[in-house]
Order: sequence, then C-alpha cells, then structure tokens
Amino acid sequence: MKVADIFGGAFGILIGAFAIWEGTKMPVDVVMKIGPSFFPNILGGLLIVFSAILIINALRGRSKGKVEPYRLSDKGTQRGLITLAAGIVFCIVLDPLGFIPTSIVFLTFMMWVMGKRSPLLIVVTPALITLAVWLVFEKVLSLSMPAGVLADYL
Amino acid sequence: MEFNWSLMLASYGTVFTPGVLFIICVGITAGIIIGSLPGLTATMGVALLVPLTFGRPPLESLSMLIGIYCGAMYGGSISAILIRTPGTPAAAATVLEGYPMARRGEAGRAMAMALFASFFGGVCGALIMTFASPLVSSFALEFGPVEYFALAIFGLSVIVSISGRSLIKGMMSAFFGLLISSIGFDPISGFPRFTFGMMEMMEGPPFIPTLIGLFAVSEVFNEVQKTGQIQQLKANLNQYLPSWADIKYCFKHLCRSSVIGTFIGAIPGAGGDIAAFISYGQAKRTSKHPERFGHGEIEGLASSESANNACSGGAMIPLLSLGVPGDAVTAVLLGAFIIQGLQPGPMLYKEHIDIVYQIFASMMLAQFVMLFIGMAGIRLFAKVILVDRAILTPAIFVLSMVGAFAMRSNVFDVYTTLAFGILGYVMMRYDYPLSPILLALILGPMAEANLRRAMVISAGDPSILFSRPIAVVLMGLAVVSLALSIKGQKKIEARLSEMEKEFEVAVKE
Amino acid sequence: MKLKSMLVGVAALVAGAFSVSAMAAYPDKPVTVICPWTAGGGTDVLLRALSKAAEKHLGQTINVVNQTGGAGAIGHNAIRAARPDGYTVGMITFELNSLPPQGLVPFTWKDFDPLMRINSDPAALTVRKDAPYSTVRGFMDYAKEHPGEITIGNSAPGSVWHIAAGLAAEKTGVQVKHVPFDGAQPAVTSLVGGHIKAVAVSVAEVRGQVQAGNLKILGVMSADRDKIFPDVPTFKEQGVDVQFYTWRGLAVPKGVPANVKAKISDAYKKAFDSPEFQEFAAKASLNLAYQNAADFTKFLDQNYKDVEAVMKSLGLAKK
Repeated sequence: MKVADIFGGAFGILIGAFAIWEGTKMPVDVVMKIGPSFFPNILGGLLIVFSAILIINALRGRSKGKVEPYRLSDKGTQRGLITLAAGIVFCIVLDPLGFIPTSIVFLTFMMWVMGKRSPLLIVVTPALITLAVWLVFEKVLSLSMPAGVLADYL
Repeated sequence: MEFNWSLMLASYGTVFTPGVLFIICVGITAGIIIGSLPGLTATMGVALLVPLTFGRPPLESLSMLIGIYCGAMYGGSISAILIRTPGTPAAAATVLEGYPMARRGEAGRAMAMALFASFFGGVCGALIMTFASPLVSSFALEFGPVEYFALAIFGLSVIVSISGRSLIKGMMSAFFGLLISSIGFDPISGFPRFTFGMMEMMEGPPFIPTLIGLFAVSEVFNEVQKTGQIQQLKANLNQYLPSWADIKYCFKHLCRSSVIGTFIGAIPGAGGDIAAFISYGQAKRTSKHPERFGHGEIEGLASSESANNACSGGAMIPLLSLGVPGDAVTAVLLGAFIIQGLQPGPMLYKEHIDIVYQIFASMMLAQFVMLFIGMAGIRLFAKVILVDRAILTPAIFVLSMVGAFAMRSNVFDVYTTLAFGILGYVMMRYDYPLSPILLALILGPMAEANLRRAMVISAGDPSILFSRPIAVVLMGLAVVSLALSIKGQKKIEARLSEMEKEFEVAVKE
Repeated sequence: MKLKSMLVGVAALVAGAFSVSAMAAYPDKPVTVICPWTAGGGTDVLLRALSKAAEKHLGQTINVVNQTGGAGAIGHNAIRAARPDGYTVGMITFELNSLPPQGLVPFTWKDFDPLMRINSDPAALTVRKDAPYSTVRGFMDYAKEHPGEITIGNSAPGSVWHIAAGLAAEKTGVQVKHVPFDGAQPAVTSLVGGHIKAVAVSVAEVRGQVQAGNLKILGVMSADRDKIFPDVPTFKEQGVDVQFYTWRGLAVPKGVPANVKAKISDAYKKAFDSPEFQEFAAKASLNLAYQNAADFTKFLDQNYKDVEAVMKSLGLAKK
C-alpha cells in the first residue's frame, strides 16, 4: 500500500494544482472578493494538504491495509481488463449500433467471459434480458433508447 | 389554522374508496419499480407519469402521484441492497449498510428492515405533515442563503462518518468530489469553470450517471475478477417484516431519523439524499457500535431509509401551505397541481381545504399500501440476489448504462458512467471511500452558491454568516459533530485494526 | 469543414429517407418534447399543458423531457442536435438569444427551425407585501436613499430576469445588487422568506404568492397592463420607459421534412386555440402571443439584435 499511497497522494496534488492553476485564469470579482476561483482554490489547496499528509504517512511507513499486486497471468486480472475493454466498446457502439444489438452482444460475450458455455444459456438469456429492459424503458416509460441500425423497424 | 377533525375523518372516508385505493396501489407499484431501476429517480417517475393524470379528477391524480413518490423513495433501497446500485440518489446512504448485509447473506433481513423503516418514516412524515404544517412551513421560510450554506456545511461534516478506515483518504475523496462539483457554470457570475469547452460539462458532471458509475459499475469490475473464487450468495428470504428484536434495536434511530428527514424535506431545495446522509451520520455518532458501520449495520440502514421516506411528507408541507416545493419531486407535483387548476399555497387552504385534507389522508394511506405491496414484493425482488453472478453482473452493467442514458438521452452520460465506474473501482481498490464524493456532489454546489449569494447580499461582508440564529446553530452543530466524529473515528480506526490483527493471527493459527 | 458539411448532408439524407419510410404513419410512436428548464417551472408547466392539449390532435403521446442545465444551453443544444425526424420537438426560450452574446454556446437561433411563438411575458418587479414602497418610483427612490440595501433576485446569472433588472436599474440610475438563484422559484421563495428585497420575474411566477397576500407587484415591464392584475401599472405609466419580455416558442432541429413539420405545427396550433389551453393560460397568467413560423423567425432576428445590444451596454456580453 505504501507505493500506492504515494502515487495516490501525488495524483491528488496534481489535481489540486491543476484546479488552482485553472483558477488563476478565471475573472476576479473585485467587489465581493470571492469570485469563481474562490472555491476551487480552497478545495484544491486542501486536497493538496491531505494528499501531502498521505504521502508523508506512507513514507514514514504508516500506510494501512494491503493490496494484492496485479499480475497479468492472473485469470481475474485478465477478466477485469477484458470487461474494461468490452465496457468501452459498449459505450462507443451504443449510439451508432443501437441499444438492442449492443446489449445482446455484450451480454453474450460477458457471460462467456465469466465462464458460461452452455450455448442455449448464452444465446437465449441475453436476448430475454435485453428485451425486458427495452420494453420497460422504451414502451412502458416512453424513455427512448438509441435505436441505431434498427431505427426503421422499431 | 384550526385543525378540523370532522373534515379529516370525512377526507379519510373519501380516500378510502375502492377507486382511490386502487389508484394509490397502481402509483405505489409503479413507484417501487421505477425507484428500483437505476437512473430512474422519484422525480423522474412522477414527471413521467404526470401526463397520465391529465383529465382525471384532482384527488385521483394527486393520490397516484403521491403513491409514485412514496413508492419510488422505498424502491430505491431494493437495488441499493441487492446490487449495490442506489435506485435513487436518496438510497445512496442505504448502500453503505444494505449491500454489506446482503453480501453476508442477510438480504432478507435488510430488505425487511428497509421496508419497515420506509413505512415508519413515511407515517411519521405524514403525521407531522397533517398536524404541524403551518408550524413547519414558517420554519422552512427562515431558510435563506446563509442558512442553506450552514446546512450544507453541517451535512458535509458527515463526511468524517463515512470515511471508512482512513480519515485522510476520506478527506481526499471529499475534496476531490467538491472540486468535481465546482465544474460547470459558476452559480453567481455564470463563468464556465473546468469545462474544457464542452457543453455537456457546463452543468458539471451529471449526477445520476456519476452515482451509478461510482457504485454499480465499479462493483461490476470488482465482481468479474472474483468469478469462481466466491461462492454464490445465499440469502434467507423468509422474512417479510423485521424481527421484533431488530425493531427494538433500531427504534431510537427510526424515530430520530424520521423527524430529521421530515424537517430536511420541508426545507425547500433539500431532499431525501441529504436527509438520508445526515441521519446516517447522526446514527453512527450516537450508535453503541460505530465500528460496525460500513460493514452491514442494521441501524444505519434503518436510519437512512426512514429519513428518506419521512422526507416526502416533509417536502409536501411547504408545497401545500406555501406553494413552494420542498424538493425536486414536489417541484414536479407543483406543476401537476397547477394543471389541475389548483394553486398550492395559502389560497389552497382557503378555497380547497377539502383537497388539502384529502391529500393528508392519501399520503397516510399510501404508506400502508406501500407496506403491503412491499411485503408482497420482497420475495420477488430478493430473488435477484440468487441469480447466477455470471448472468447478473453483465446485466447490472447494461442496466446501469441504460439508466444513465435514460435520464437525459445523452450518450455523454454513458461515458461519464463508465469513467466514474473505472474511477470508483480504482478508488475502492486502494481504500479511498466513495460516498464522500457523493455527498460532496450533493452538497458542494449548495454550499458554494449560497455562500456566494450571501456575500452578494452583504456586499462581501462575511459577518452576515453569523447574523442569523438558525445558521449559527447549524454551524455550531457542524463543529460539534465534526469534533465528535473525528474523536470517534480515531477509536473506530483503532478497533478496526485490532480486529484485523486478531483475524490475521486467527488465520495463521 | 467540407467533409463535415458533407457528412451532415448525408446524415440529413439518410434521416430524410428514414422519415420518408416512416412518413405514411407519422407519428407512429410517442413524440418527445425537450424542455430546457426544470420540471415545475413556468416553461415546463406551459409546455406540459400545451402538449397535453396537442396529443389528441397529433394522435400520439407527447412526452416532455426536461434536459436542464447550463442556463438552458444543454436543452437547446439537445433540440438542435436531435434527429430531424419530427419525433423530437423542443421549446426554445429567450435564453437562446442571450447565451450566444455571452460566448457560451456555438449556436444561435439560426441553427433551429422555428415553428411558432407561444407567449411573451413581461418582467414584473415584485416585492414583499410589507415593503415601504408601492410604486416603481418609490422603489427606485428608496434604493437611491439606501445605497447597497436593495437586492434583486433573478433566475440565473445572465438570465432574462437578470437582464431585465439590470436594464431597469440602468434606466433609473440606481445601484442594486443582483442575486442569481437556481431558477425563478427559489428566488421567489427567498423573497417570501425576506432574504432578498425584490425579484424581477414574470407575473406567472409570482402570481400564487401575490394572490396569497405575501407579495405585491410594483410594475410590469410591458406596453399594456397585465390581464390578471389590471390594477398594476406598467413601468412606462410610472415614468420609467422600460419594456422587457421573455418569450417561449416551439422549434425543431433543421432538416425535418416539411409535411412532418406541418403536422406538428398544426397539432400545436389547434392545441393553442383549444379552450382548455386558453383557460389554463388564463389560470397560469400567461401572456399568450402566438406568431406563425414566418413572423416568429422575423421576431427572433430582431430580438437577437436587441438583446445583444442590451447585454453589451450592461457589460454582460463577452468582450
């Protein structure tokens, strides 16, 4: 956790510094003294302070807890990365492809990744889930989902 | 305003007819389902179903909308407990205790308590609304910029209580969250901050997608890595109501949280999410076992759920007696009233006192209907947890994305959800608590806008902050609660590390 | 740029083709109307009432969606960027003409296809019932005698009511402090609670509280007196020549086929003329001011120029 805490703290300091730096570019309110940059400056400053404390504590060996390091050979880590990639793809294709195909493909793929192999299960379940979600949102609540390639048929 | 008992009884008679009861049932059922779906809030539920009430008589329409409101407030807890996705922002505090309980195999117990607490809070809210509306509404009007600022600060002091085991990391989360909340238009000068030129960022990161991302999507990433290692969750689902022991154990918190919830609901602009967090912090500070909070403590669950349902009764108070909505849902209800040709406010009391009393009555009946429908639904809903994780986890991801999208039909929100999901996962892994971010997002804009507003009014003189009694009391409370929680937090941290050591020793042996 | 306009063209064609195929049945699914302002506000209530009346003429459900935020920028942009298939209509409001001068949005009213203007509401200067002044003049004199005491609430920084109050103060040469809120409703609430001295919002937004006897209107910034409160004089009658209106209208994104547009316009015009909507507008004290697409377009052009000029003189426009 020591290294992680140092990284986390450094990241916090960076974000805080960025906020303060952006704040300098904001207009100043002369009358009220506190303009748009007032809050971000305080918050950025405090974030830096707490991040610094975290780093100091870590350097003095006072970090709490343990983290299992990532190993690429680990099955769980691999699954995590695959899920991440699938999630990103899901977001990218959701609008152009439409909700129904995206959701069915995603669910089938993810169930396969998570160890389901029965063909009937991984073909039928995703379709049913997708259909149920679509019916509730699109038909019952009239909240439109991206239609995508199926725009003509829905 | 004299309380009119005979009219009250007559109103119960009017409401207690098959037609109106049926409408309330429909409203409650719809509300529970909408509330339990991630992304669909009580506000959205009511707004979506307002058009269905057009052309119906006022009592029926309003009863249905009230049913949706109360049902959705409870419904949010279902997904919070079962799949770590707060169905509504008001259920965010429920996640903190409800989900760990479900992981422990106590889903049934948690769901039963959530239902009972919602019912209890709802009844308290409705009672206070019926008997103390004029009193409470004059209190609500006292809230100006200074008081809102003080309330926000008081709310933010809860952050210490939800910081998990490292106060420093909790603070980092909180300030990071506050910084995120400052993205978008500056509330006073209108200057766009940290928007990187993107219009979607002008109002800051959208709240619902952020919420869903941080809790639900992060858990999906967590879950997929564990497949095969964890056994399927077991759940004891033979419970409809909490055991007598549980009720007795939580009774103190139920009562206190219901009152807190009603009052916060009555303050215009402060809703169930704030009420739930403040009550949760309150429960933790006064609990005998604060170290159990965050690990599935039923007290915390009871207090947050009773507070957010009490809030709906509270929010109706200023709406009816002042014509000022108490939260986002009642803002929509205000529109529904006007469409019905009713202008809430003092005139409603003068001209349509019968409607006012009928609303009191249907609010109360809605709580009982919610209890019965909720009991019937517990088994059905709780089955979710027994679904194979390999199916449930991807489905949660899809449902989260859909919920995030549905709010504003904006693909940007889907990306936001994923980004906060990744952020949430990384933060959980390295022990940064997530809920301070959430609280910061809820209260940050309230604190900043009202402080700045107060400064505009006083022309930059900070003494205005100490010129108003309610504000001074709230800020005093904030300091006290901060001091107490930091003191308590030290103890909790010590106890927790002790427990961990014992555990390690036990494992070695 | 060329590629982009080509893409837009292709997209429009494709969308057009889709709409043509769907044309026979338009509307064969619920129509969404985007409201750029929060649920329960003046714009929202108006839009919901009008859409309710339009449903039976359109023969489909009309869903009002509140896409809020960014002082209306999000909602307006959503209307502009919506698929031009006629299933997304939007309510455009005054802010469409006040956001561009501030350099906040990359579009102007010219990026929309206006359908009709619905109302144009004047600002009303409203104070607490127990205030020591009961005329606009009296208010301004009081403000001069007590510098730094008068606070006027508005619905958002750079919003229509901010500009209206600024214009009135400029015309009378008094110093007031403008307090932006998150919408008109919270500003009115704050006035009722006595936290600010006045609000400059529309009559509809203060009506409930005025009738309840909590607030009083000092004057309306219009040419004629208000229908609901005919006793309230206009600013002009009180010697302050200020007229300032907000307006609301319907628009669709560019590229909606003409016949679909006609269907929408027709349904909404019938809804506008329906007795129930007229009754609602009277109840909600809306100043109905219908204009057809052509007149509305002319109006938008003129209004844009006017607003830009006022904002420049008030220092609200981007330098």
